[in-house]
Amino acid sequence: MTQALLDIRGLKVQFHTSQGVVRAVDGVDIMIRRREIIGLVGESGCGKSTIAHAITRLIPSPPGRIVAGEVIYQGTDLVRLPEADMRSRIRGRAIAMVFQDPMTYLNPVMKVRTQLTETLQVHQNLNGPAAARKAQELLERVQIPSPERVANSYPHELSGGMRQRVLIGMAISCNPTLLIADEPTTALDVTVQAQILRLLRELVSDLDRSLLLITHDLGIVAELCDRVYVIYCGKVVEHGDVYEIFDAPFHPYTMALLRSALSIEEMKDDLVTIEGQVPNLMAPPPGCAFHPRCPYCMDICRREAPGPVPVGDGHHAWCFREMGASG
Amino acid sequence: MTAPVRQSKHRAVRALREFWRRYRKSRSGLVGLALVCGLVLLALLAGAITSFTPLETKTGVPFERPGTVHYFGTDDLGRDVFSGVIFGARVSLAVGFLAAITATNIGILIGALAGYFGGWLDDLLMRIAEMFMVVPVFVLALLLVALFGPSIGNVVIVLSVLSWPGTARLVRAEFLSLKHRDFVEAARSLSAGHLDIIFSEILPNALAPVIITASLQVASAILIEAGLSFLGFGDPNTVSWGLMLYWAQKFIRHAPWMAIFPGLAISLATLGFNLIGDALNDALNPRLKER
Repeated sequence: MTQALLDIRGLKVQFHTSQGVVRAVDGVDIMIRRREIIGLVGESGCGKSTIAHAITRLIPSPPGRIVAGEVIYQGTDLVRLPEADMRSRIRGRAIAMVFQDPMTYLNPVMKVRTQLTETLQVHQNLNGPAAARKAQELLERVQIPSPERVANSYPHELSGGMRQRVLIGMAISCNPTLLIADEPTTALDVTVQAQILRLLRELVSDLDRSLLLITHDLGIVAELCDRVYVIYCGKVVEHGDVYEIFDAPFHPYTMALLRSALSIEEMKDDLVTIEGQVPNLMAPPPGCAFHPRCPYCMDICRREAPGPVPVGDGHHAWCFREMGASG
Repeated sequence: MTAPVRQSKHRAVRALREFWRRYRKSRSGLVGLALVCGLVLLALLAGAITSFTPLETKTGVPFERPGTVHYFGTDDLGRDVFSGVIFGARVSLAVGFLAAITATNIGILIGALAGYFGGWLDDLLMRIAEMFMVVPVFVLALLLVALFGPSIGNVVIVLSVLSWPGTARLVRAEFLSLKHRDFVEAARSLSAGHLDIIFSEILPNALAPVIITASLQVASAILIEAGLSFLGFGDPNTVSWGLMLYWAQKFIRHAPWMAIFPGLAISLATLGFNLIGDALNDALNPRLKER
C-alpha cells in the first residue's frame, strides 16, 4: 500500500458559542494517498468544510478550536506545527485551497495579474517580470483562452468560470501537493462545472497532486473521485472505493443520499428526500447520530455509537445493521 | 511585449475617464475643483504674479485703498495685502494638505490595527480616539501651540495629532466588515501575513471614504490654522491668511480691506475643499454610481 500523503486521525473540532459547544467535527479519520482524488460527501452543515479548514488550520479562532486528533502531512503533525511554519511551509506551498464562490474569493479592487503575482513574490521570491511571466503561464495552465486580457482584468469583468480558473491558478501557483476544493463548482453553470472538473482532474494527474474534493453533489463524486468518505453530523459514516459506495452502499444515510440523487437524475415525479432534519450539532442525538431518521433503526442505535465495520474490500460503514439483520 | 503595457495604460486611462465622467456630473464639485486649482496656481506662481513680498514694509502709503498698484490695498505698515494673500495661500494650503495627509495616515494605521485585530487592542485604540474626540479640537490646539511654541511645523503636528480619530473610526468600521470577506480567507489560505492582508488586500477596498474625509480635513485644517493665527497663536514670521486677519483686527473699521481679502481667501478655500469632498462622495460611493 502506498504511503499516506495526509493522514487525519481522530480529528475533533469544536465551536464555543454563547448557546453552547458545537461539535462540528467529532472524531474523523481520513487518509489521502499521493495522486488520489478523495470525495468528502455530506449535507450542508455536516462539517465538511470545517474539516478542510482544520487541515490548513484556518478555523476562525475564537470560537473554533481543534480539540483533539492529528493531521499528519508527510510525517509532520499540522495540528501542533507552529503558526510560522504553517505559513512558510504548508499553506499555499504544500496544501492549497480552491473555494466555492469565485466572485467573493477574489479581491475586487485588484487586477488578476496582481493577485497572482503577489502570491508568487511572497512564496517564491520571484522578481516583478519573472512573476508576471509565471502568472501568464499559470493562466495558460488553467486553460484560459486569452491570458493576457484576463491578467489585465478586474474580477468583475470576468465570467464565473473564468474567475474559478483564476482561483485554481492561484491555488496551484506554488505547486502544492494537495489541493482542497471546497464545493468548487456549486456557484457555476452545469456546462462550466464540467469544464472545471475536467481541469481539476487533469491538474491532479499531470502534476502528481492529490485532491480532496468537498461536495454534496454525488454526480461529481462519481465522475471524479477514487475513494469517498460520507460525513454525517461531524462523523464519517461510511468510506470506501467509489464503485463500492455507489454499487453497494451500506449505511442507510449513504443509501438515502444516493436515492435522492437518483430521483433527480431519473426525473421521477416525486422528489425523494431524507425524512427529518439534520440534528442540532450542539445536542446530537445519543447513540448513532442518524438514528432519528433511519428506517432500520434498532434499540442499540439509540444507546451506543457504532464503530467501523468492514463491509467490503476497503469499505467500512459505521452501522450496527450488519450484526442484527444482515444485508 | 508592448501590448500588455499599452493595454494596461489604456485601462488606467479608462478608469480615470470613468471617474471623471461621474465627478463631472456634480456642478458644485467642478466649482470646488476650480476654486482649489485656482488657489494652488496662485500659491505656486506667487513670485511671478506680484513684485511685492508680504513682509516688506513701506511699499506704499499705510492704509492705501485697493487700487491699480496695490490691488488689495496696503496695511498699517504699508505692506501689500495682495502679495500677503497669495503668499499666504502657500502657507495655508501647505498646512491644510500636510495636516490632512499626516492625520489620514495616522488614522489609517490606527483604524486598520483596531479593526483588523479587534479585541483589547481595538478597545484601547478606540478609547484613545474617543478621548481626542470629546475634547474640543480648537481649544486643545490652542493649548498645545501655546505650550510648544507657535511655529508652522508645530501647528501642522498639533493639527495632525488632533484630527486622526475621525479617519481611524472610519477605517476601523471598513476593516470590521472587510476582514470577514472571502478574499481575505483566500489570501490567508495562500499564507499571506497580517501586514500583507491589511495593506494589500483590505486597505485598497477601504480607500474611498478615506479620500473623501481627507478632502474635508484639508478644509478644517485651514480653518483651524487661520483661527489659531487670528488669536495670535500662529507663526508670527510666516504670513498666513489667519495672521493677516490678526493684523487687521485693530483697523477693521478704518481699513476693512485688510480683513476682507484674507477672509475671502479662507472662505473660498474651505468652500472649495468641501465642495470637492461632496462631489467625491457622489463619484466614489458605489451605491450611488448608477444614478
